[in-house]
Amino acid sequence: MIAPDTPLRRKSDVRFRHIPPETLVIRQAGPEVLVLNGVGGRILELLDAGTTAGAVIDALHGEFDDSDGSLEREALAFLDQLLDAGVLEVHGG
Amino acid sequence: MTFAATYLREPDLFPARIAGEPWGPQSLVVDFAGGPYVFHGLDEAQADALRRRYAPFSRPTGARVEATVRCDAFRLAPEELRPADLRGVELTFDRDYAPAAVRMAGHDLLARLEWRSEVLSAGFWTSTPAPASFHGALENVFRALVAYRALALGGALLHSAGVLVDGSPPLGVVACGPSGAGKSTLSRLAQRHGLGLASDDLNMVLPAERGAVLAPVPFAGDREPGGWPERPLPLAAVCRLAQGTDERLEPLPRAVAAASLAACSPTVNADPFRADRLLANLDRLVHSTPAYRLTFALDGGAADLLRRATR
Repeated sequence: MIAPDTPLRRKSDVRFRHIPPETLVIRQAGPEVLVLNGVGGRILELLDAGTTAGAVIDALHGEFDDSDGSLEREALAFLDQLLDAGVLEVHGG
Repeated sequence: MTFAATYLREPDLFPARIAGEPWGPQSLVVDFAGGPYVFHGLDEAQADALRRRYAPFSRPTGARVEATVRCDAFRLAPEELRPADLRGVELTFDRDYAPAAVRMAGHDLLARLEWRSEVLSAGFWTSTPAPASFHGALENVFRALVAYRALALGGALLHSAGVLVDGSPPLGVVACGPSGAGKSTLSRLAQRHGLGLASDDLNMVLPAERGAVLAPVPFAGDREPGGWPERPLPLAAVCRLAQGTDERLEPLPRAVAAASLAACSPTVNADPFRADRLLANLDRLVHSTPAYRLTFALDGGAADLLRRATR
């Protein structure tokens, strides 16, 4: 389970390209391909250099509406899915 | 596991450069999009068999040909190979990617691809002298070479059915899908209803002044090779295949279409040094060419759906 202080980065075999409004992701070890929505693509971009889940969430707060207060929960759940899918890895910990 | 350890007794002895003992003095020129592709080091029987197999793309070797792609065939000593029981085994390859080279190893097959200025060069080693088996091994390397040339030209080589819809010139539709999605079935249905076929296995798509083209390549899957279109044809649509009873043709979002095509781009889609270029090429393709999800039934109207995709 990912927590806000979990350090994350994109796995080295993952490539992506924004094709608005979505983002195409290819996991070359498979190879497998995924399509993420705009927010998912932005999360991948934020993680490109390696950062924590919390830093990603902070950045999303500045860019997306969170009037119902669900952004953090949904972002953490989504990061968990990306981790399970082999798109992300925990690093440096 | 160490690269090539499944196939070689001494994987560290994988050829470090393109050199070895050729099978013979014969050469073969095969010319289509991305080429000419020139093969050297063949014996007479191998060259004759390949010339027949790749007709009408084969060219006389007497005239001087500037190769865009050069592939040299070499002998591999059988004792270098690790014994393998191939019963019930799906043949795969080890691949090792580097910025300026790609290595491949498989059953009785080693290959090294190198980018040298404007020429893509390859060495291909096998212990198989018989023309039929030799061709099987060589074609695995040939397909990889063509995939990289398609990439360099801004396009892609796609595992797909390439269907030609009536017109003057005919219009191409490329239908992609994973193994078992129905490429061969769609190809048979299309032919049964009067449509032409470029290939039921691999097709090259390239950017053109207006949109994209389907460029013929001499690779066939389940059908007898031959009957290729003589020149590149306008590409009217790309499709992602699905089988089902509720036949339909639905527009695909561009990212989904590009994802489908990326999944069907052999060799290149697993290359960490060239995948970004593949995604850029596919991005451009799905912006210039309509993309659909094509759901068809075994006894239905696939040909009509393919015609509709060209309108």
